[in-house]
Amino acid sequence: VNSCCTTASARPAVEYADLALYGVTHTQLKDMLRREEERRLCEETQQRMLMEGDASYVPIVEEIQAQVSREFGLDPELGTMLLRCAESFARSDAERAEIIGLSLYRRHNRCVDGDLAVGSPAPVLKQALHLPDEGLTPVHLFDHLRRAAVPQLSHQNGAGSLPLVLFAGSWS
Amino acid sequence: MNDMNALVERYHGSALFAFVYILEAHAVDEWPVRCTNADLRQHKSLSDRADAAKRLVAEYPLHPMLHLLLDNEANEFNTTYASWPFRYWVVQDGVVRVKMMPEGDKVTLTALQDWCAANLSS
Repeated sequence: VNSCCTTASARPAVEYADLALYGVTHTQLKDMLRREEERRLCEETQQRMLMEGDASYVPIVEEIQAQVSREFGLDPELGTMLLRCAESFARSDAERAEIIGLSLYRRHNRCVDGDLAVGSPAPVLKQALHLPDEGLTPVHLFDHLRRAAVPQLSHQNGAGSLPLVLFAGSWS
Repeated sequence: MNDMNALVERYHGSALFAFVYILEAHAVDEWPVRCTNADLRQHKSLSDRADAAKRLVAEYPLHPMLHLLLDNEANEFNTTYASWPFRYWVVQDGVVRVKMMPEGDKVTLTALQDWCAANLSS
């Protein structure tokens, strides 16, 4: 499974770091982000991902970030770091929002750790989920699973205490 | 998907399994990654989500005891259980027992397999 779990809002250790320390201007950094976006979305890159398969995503992205760094006259290691930590160099919240908006992997990144941890009470959802049937039948998650399991688990004392294993994801 | 199905096959007598279909991870109109081989746009409705889920199971059939559900239009499951792009959870007696965390840039079933081996009878 491809990793896209670099939390968009994650802040590096130094907040609003001084970009000038690296000899790069904010204009240059934003141009680098635009160029990276262009390279990620271009047909050539998308075709490579298709041809090389699922495992190619991370190496291809790393290659693009290194290439963009070189195009802007930066050492690839430094340039890659600047691209990945770009929002930390913003001089204001407005600029931070602008920088987030420049990269699809920031503006569409919904990856968060969330508040739940092992040992937390498992929240019950307020609204129903749905079956993928014609009527999109609404069902309540835990109740539905326990009811669905009863025929198969009739030898047990109900399904109420069985662990629930929940996978969540999408095709893409 | 094969690994998930194998886990369900092994433990479906001692646990309940569901796959909740949530927002696309790499919708073509948001964050296209063509190597996923899915040209799906982000869902604008429950019907869109159902269509995407049906395409998934047509391509990768789920074990009959892995119950497919759709997150609701408010994306409440994902909001509550912070799962995008992929995560698994184990809940028992109303308490979270397992929360998957990425291992570097990979997602594996290892934590779940270990938990099942230690806590469930196959």
